[in-house]
Amino acid sequence: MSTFLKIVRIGWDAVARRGMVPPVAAIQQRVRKLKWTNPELDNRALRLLRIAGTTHLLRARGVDPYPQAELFRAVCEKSEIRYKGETFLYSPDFDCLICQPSRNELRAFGNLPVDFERLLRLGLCGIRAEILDARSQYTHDEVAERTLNAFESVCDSLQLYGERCLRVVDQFVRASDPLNPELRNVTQVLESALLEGATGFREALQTILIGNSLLWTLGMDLVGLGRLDKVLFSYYRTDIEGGRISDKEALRLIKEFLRLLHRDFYSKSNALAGDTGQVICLGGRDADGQDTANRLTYLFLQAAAELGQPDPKLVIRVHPNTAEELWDAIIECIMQRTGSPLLSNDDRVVPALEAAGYPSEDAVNYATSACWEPCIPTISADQNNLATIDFMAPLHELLNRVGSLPEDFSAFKQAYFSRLRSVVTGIAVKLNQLEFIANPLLSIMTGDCISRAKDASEGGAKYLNFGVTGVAFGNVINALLNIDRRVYREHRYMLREMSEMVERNFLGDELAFAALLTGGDKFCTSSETALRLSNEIIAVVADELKHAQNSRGRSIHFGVSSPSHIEYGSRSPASLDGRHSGSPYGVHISATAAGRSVPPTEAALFAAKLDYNGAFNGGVFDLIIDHMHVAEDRSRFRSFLRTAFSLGIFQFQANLIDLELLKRARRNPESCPQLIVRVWGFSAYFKDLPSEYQDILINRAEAACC
Amino acid sequence: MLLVSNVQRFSLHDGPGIRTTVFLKGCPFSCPWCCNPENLSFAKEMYFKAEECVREKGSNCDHCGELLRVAGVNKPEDLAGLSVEIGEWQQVISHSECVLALGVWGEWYDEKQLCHILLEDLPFYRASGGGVTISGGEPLVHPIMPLVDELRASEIDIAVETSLLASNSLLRSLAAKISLFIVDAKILDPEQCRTTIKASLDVFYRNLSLLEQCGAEILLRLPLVLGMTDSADNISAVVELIEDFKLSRVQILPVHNLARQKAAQLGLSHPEYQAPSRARIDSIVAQLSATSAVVDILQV
Repeated sequence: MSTFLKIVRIGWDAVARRGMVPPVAAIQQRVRKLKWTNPELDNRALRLLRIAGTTHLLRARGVDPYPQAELFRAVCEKSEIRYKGETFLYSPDFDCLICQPSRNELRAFGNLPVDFERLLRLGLCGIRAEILDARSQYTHDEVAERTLNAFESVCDSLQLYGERCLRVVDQFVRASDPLNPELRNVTQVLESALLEGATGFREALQTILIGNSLLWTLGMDLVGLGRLDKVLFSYYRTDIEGGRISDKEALRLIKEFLRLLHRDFYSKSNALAGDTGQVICLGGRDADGQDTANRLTYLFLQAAAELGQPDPKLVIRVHPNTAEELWDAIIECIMQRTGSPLLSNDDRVVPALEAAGYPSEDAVNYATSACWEPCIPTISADQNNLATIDFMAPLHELLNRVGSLPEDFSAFKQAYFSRLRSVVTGIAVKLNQLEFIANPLLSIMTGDCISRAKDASEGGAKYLNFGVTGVAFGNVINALLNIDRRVYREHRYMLREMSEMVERNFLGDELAFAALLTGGDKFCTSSETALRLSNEIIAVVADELKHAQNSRGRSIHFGVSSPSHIEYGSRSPASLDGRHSGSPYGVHISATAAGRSVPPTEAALFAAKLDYNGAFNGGVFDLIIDHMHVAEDRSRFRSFLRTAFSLGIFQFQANLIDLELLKRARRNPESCPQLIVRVWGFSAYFKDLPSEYQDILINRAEAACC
Repeated sequence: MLLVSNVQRFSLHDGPGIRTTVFLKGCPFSCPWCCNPENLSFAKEMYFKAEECVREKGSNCDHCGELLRVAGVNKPEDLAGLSVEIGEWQQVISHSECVLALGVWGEWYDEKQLCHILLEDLPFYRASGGGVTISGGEPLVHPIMPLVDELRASEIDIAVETSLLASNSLLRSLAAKISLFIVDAKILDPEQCRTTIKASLDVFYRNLSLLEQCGAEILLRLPLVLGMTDSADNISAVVELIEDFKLSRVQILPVHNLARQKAAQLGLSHPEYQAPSRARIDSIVAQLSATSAVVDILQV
């Protein structure tokens, strides 16, 4: 759910409980807890709250798809459609408040890519035909019939929405410039695309925008866009070959498409401004290892580079046959310093998906969910960001409860593993109890739901697996290695003494703290010991999750990248990696906690040797590098990236930093309003970030650039 | 054995591609603006970071007590710059808990051990056309040939950064094995060179001729220090040198003062040096660019 909606929900819940609009101060207090600092949005939320209950606020509950279809009809009938002469109509209505139940065990779908490939290919007519076919298969099944009725209703509602869109555009055209060919184009596209499927590039882009806007209006979170170069290419090629558009025009249309998706940046944001989940996945290899990048791959990269906006974000799939030309385009885009694209290594991701049971033909078609979690678009409803494993928590427990000192580090490590297993099992048990709110719109866009007459929430999609992320992974490796060194090998301290240091937040223990931070083997360095321990921990979690597969056949995946390193760090006590209470945990796979500046080559060699087959739900190698190091020799940077990928890093993202600019922006954020940085899996305006995020970036940049 | 002060991986400014630069400790010359004062002495030596010392901040920490006793000094700052080669030191230092303020510059490596470290980034060298750069100090006064042979056996591209003030025979045997000589040209007036940096220009020119005869690849690096290397006469001499030796690449390095902190930690004085003005640097670049050489500025 977007933070904006969270804010509104806070107000709405208060209205529902007390029958009155809560005092502004109370709302502001709750808003501050969300760490949302955008004043424009706060004001907008407050304005809305003042009139809460009087807007067209819609409410639906439960797992039954039919009420959800009715809610969707209401959205299609009532949501506001705005059009001001843009190349496409795109009008998510963030004032159309959808209240879904917020019980922990009942979740709404979100955080997944929806590419509308089926709508483009089949149109509503084709989807209706599928529903008709399915009806003949389920003639005496009331539940199936009810579900198919819901699907049919969604088609009707979509058609209705399309007709409303057409009327709005038509009115605008008549009132402004009836002979304007660009505006007439918009009308013509809307007349047929939804019903009959897209016939050209412009229709395809417009159809995606309509579907996408409705998902946002429905209150879905973190809506990704899938592999758009693949999905859109046939429409592009038809138009190019038919002489209907030029390459230049295609680029203009893509830029307009991206600009519109970016327009509601703040309203779409989740935990922080910029965390929208709008990821477009490009490139990649097919099952034979051949490159599938096409002209659109380049046009999307060029458009993103030229627009220089933080959102939507690109994920580029790379592999050994990625063309040099594409690498050049990737680096050109990285050079624009929007934090995009994130790069994903097909040669690690595809085998990892296959090892997890995805057939090759599906694995090779992966895109990513909101940030980096691999997910198969069009046929999957995988929910990849449902919980977080805090790797440090079991160690804290162990230190607090340890009675007698385990006789050697191996025994200590096993005690940690045992507690880690309990934590993982606890998460798995909770996840396996989850139910999902029906989402018939998502269902008709997702393969198999119609033929099975099941909503995605009921397992209609081919996949409904779960994913969890991991936080403090590097920190716990360093903490365990420090215990091995200081307690068991050097005999400097008793375990109890180290536990006491943690308890007093290293107050008066500055030298011991420094020795923990800087000494010995460290995560993300050349240390074989650190690497071995990292892979042992991955194996423990993977093994535990393997046994957690539930009766519905859903499996749970995990990864060692997490968006929560600051949030979890802020509420965690000090730790033996050399970290004070409340300080952030390490960022993804990076040398943040190594206590020294680790060269990118050293860090990449470490990252390449982690066992991603056991942990494929995100493994981002996160690099901060002086922008001049890239600017002065791009081919050298390309060599670095290609080598790192050939060695086996899983995913990669970079912040190209101008340290002085960053410091200036920290002193006065409004002095650099357009400065964009990469945060955990998204890009954001530096000025919008809470100060602790700004400080982390500056600290890491200082280590990297000095 | 080689005394190494630092191994810098992902080194981007000491030759082509992605490189690892190994800094050898020890230099017989005394360039006043030297940016690596930790590499002047040929011995392991202690440094002391006063700003990190908790005792200086009022704590009753005594982690340096044993070191003070062995050295026969009263205060930790008196440890700065002490040569610490003898055995007793090794024990005391390795047991010292003071990881913040006190430390040692220099570590002895045998060639195989060092080569193993330098090969860690081999895939990146191969992909980027990079390799290993041997710097210092003055690397050519160290016994680097066994290391060079070890690296060559692994087909590693090797560069050296040198002032060429080395033995002619060593240079002759190195010439075929080193793919790039980064040659520091400093003060090209014989008398000033002798008095300021205690080096002989005759040796410099003789060795440069030798490299030319051997067809070695040369990158001339010129530190620009206001009032020391930027005079009109010195720049004219550099121009002459470029033309005489048909040098194709020149790198200008405006002086910086990053060494001051390191010098202070070693108990050395290090006056502040200034680079010439931007206009003067541009004019020098223009003058040098009028030769056949490609000139670029290295900003640190």
